[in-house]
Amino acid sequence: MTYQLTIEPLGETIPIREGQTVLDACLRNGIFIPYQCNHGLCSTCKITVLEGEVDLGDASPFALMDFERDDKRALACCARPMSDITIEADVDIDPDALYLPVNDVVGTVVGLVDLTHDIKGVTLEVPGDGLPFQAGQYVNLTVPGLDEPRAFSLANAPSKANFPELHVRRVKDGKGTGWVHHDLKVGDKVPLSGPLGRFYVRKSAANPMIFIAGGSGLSSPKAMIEDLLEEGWSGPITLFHGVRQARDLYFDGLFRELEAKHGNFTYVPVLSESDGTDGWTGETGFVHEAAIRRYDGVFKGNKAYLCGPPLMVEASIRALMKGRLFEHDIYTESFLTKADDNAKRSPLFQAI
Amino acid sequence: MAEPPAEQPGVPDINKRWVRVTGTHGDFVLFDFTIGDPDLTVELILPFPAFLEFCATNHAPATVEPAAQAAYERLHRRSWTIPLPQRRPGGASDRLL
Amino acid sequence: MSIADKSTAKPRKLGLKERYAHLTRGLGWETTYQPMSKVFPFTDYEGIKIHDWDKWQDPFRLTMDSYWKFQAEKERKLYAVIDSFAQNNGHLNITDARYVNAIKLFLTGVSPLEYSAHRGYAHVGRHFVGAGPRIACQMQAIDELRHAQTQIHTISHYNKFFDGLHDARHMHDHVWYLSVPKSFFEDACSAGPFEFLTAISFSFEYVLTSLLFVPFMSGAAYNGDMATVTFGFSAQSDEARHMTLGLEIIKFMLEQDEGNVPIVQRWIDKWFWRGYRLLTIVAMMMDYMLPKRVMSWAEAWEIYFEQGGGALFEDLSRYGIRMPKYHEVASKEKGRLSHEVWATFYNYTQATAFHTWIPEKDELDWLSAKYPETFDQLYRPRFEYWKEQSDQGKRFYNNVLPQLCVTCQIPMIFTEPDDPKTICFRSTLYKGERYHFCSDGCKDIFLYEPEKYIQSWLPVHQIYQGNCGGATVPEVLNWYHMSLGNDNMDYQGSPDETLWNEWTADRHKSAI
Ligand SMILES: Cc1cc2nc3c(=O)[nH]c(=O)nc-3n(C[C@H](O)[C@H](O)[C@H](O)COP(=O)(O)OP(=O)(O)OC[C@H]3O[C@@H](n4cnc5c(N)ncnc54)[C@H](O)[C@@H]3O)c2cc1C
Ligand code: FES
Repeated sequence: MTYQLTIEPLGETIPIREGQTVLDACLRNGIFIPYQCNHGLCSTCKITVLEGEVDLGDASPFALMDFERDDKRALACCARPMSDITIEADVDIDPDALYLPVNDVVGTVVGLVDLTHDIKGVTLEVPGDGLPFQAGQYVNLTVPGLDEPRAFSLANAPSKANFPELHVRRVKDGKGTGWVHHDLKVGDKVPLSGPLGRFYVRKSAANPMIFIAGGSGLSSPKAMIEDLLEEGWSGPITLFHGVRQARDLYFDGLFRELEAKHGNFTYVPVLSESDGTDGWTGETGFVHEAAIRRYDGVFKGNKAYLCGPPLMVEASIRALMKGRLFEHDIYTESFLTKADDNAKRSPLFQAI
Repeated sequence: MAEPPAEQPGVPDINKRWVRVTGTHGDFVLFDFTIGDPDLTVELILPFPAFLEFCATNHAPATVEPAAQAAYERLHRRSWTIPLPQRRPGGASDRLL
Repeated sequence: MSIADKSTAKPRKLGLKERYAHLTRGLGWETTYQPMSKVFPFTDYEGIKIHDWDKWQDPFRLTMDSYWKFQAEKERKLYAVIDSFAQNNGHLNITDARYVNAIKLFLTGVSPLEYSAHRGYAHVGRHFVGAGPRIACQMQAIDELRHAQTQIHTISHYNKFFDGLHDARHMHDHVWYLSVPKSFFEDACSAGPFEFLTAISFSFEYVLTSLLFVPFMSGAAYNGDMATVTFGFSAQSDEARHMTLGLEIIKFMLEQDEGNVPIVQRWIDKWFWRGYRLLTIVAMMMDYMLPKRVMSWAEAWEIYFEQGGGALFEDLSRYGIRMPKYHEVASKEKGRLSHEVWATFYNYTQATAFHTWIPEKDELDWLSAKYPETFDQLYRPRFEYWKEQSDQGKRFYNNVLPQLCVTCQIPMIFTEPDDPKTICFRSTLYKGERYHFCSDGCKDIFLYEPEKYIQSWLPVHQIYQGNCGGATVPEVLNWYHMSLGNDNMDYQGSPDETLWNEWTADRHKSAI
């Protein structure tokens, strides 16, 4: 049995199965309700049921007090529908979010190329509706033999929804990326689930855009920029791509072409380990240093999108903040792996 | 009228107490302590042996939050596998735990 | 459903955030028949530049309606519990009546600050131009009043059974060591609205409060003091809200104008040091006054400041904010702070509204274990010597009034950061007068605003000037509303002890 779940203030209506939690239904439909424990303990996911009936499930009396139950409050992670329902949740109204449902699909490998010595370009084919997504989002890839899926950002423009494209950097001793590099063959079928994440272009803000990508972190920005240029976005767009050496650059032909074709697009490749013997005449140093030089250290008034290794993302956040651009205008996708320690953070920042 | 005396609505019973472990910090246990009603909760910290004593004296059943489970069990195991020190008065023994 | 259908706009309800914005911003307006600068006279003089008040992110979106509902329900249960403890003679369940002295210090030193905080927030809640921070402050002003109220209930409860709590309000305004917390808050309340929030919401509520509350409440609970735990219920659940206000004000100032960064840094430096000095009494409570101990001051400092605060300042460094100045001095002092202070109170026990004692042998052992680098070397021999003297009928009292630090008003008892055997003296000349300080931190604060601190009401100076009832101990105690021999002196032989022994003897008998 399937009911209808309407989420206010978004006004979105999505299907919800009998027995499915409200939180699960929302997340599977791209609607992000803040949550933490997913077990009815922390009360982060508290919602109000405006219409219809829910089963409150295992909500702890600590997390959901008696008088709150009387006031029609519920915990999204435990509440299950008993009729069509309308809820109100503390979701930020994001005019740029498309709230695309998460799908489990199987892609067939149709292209495998070495983009650089350690980045593999994987093109998949997904028939039918394909894998609709918002440029910037990622998918979870199921790797045979591994319990947890691996996350990779989609590098194709959303207009090519039937051909998801991934850029996979080989991680030292990494199991999943090792498999992609050594075992994956054209014709193989791989299960994907997506789209996921809230890293996408805030088109509703007309600000000039800065993209800073590190290594295989070019994936999302490529999708985002191709999407913007395809639809004729006329505001200034600058892409910084930081890599070690000239041999680590990829798609630079494509971006140079785009730069030539679109007066509003600037492409800045940056080498951090150029030794002067490679004939490189472009930017050198760390990618955020190049951005500081290009912008005279002043970033105020832009929107910045950072994608790639956590260290690069952190260095870029610091550079941008020094240039008076803050959390509200900075969007990040950090390519975290298990090796990244979860150093304790304070609650000062939520999004960056 | 032979009705039983109506219970006063919503007056918390101070003899009902609960403990919920939320985390650990070295040898310390971080926990929420509740008296009578979930609204009446306070966040506390005690060294592990003191924590056990506290739960016992308050007759407070303890639950452990899933996120704290592993760390809490480690503390638990450690305290039982270490041979109990000669109990000198004071904290010398606490330091070993 | 295709992407195209989904992105078409539909009419929708207002989100919580928007609704809250209407309830707050919607209540503000641009004045017409008086200029804004006259209506809000305190917004500019501190040098903080705000370009866009609408960038304020409401840290909590609580409407008055739900605030009332929620707090009324909580308060109803809280007072029911407070009554139950009183009816069940809750004071007999504490470990030992010595414990009550920690509570006396807290209730006379800290509880009045809740009321000062109420006044402070009510004041700044009037003076911000932005409606967002104004409402947040007004809401917190009510919280603080509720906290003061529940704590007064605890005072009233303990006052029935123990000495020293009969006139907490008067004592807060008169007694020498209580001038430390009093002047701390008055310093904040007499600053501008932005400095007040940096001082109280950020430095105190966010950075330092867990050091005060968690170990203190844990001590109360572990020592069976449920009357105090009940006011923890009321205070702690509001704390999360107060802490987010502290973070938001800092972010807001730092993001609004680059010129705000050095001002905020200076305030963080100042209020870290002021707050840290205030917490000295907490150090002493934790290490000396709890019959059953929770953790040492040094451990608490490590957990709550060095680690917890470390993460915060790492994040703040993105704004160009660094760790508070002299934080390393606080870390150097962590092995000696409580010992230096307890020794001082032991010296001046004749003028305190609580009792002191020399720790028992097992307590000294605990201190030796917790402070392996300092206690046996520096402090234990002194306590043992005083014990010996006292056993021979030669209990040591210090009859010379101490020199006070002009800034923190604590006697000059602290030692050099790098030499725990030398008292740290700092001084400066200002307009022909010499002013003394316990530390570089306190001296810096004075030097930045000398005109403010030369007005300090320093208890010792006031006594010498004849403003405190007279020149003898009984006269001054009388002026303090303290009763000699009852409220003060050693616990051993005090009326508190006598009564406690009677009560607990009865309890043992009736248990048979
Ligand atoms: C949202 C998102 C999007 C991403 N997009 C991309 C993308 O577009 N392109 C791309 O190349 N990458 C991307 N990544 C990064 C990618 O997901 C990881 O590189 C990948 O998951 C690594 O998988 P693996 O199985 O190869 O490595 P793993 O086997 O998981 O190991 C990763 C590293 O951690 C070490 N390690 C493993 N376990 C531990 C442990 N317990 N403690 C310490 N170290 C350990 C390993 O030795 C290895 O160095 C993205 C990541 C995220 C989160
Ligand atoms: S996510 Fe924690 S209660 Fe639902």
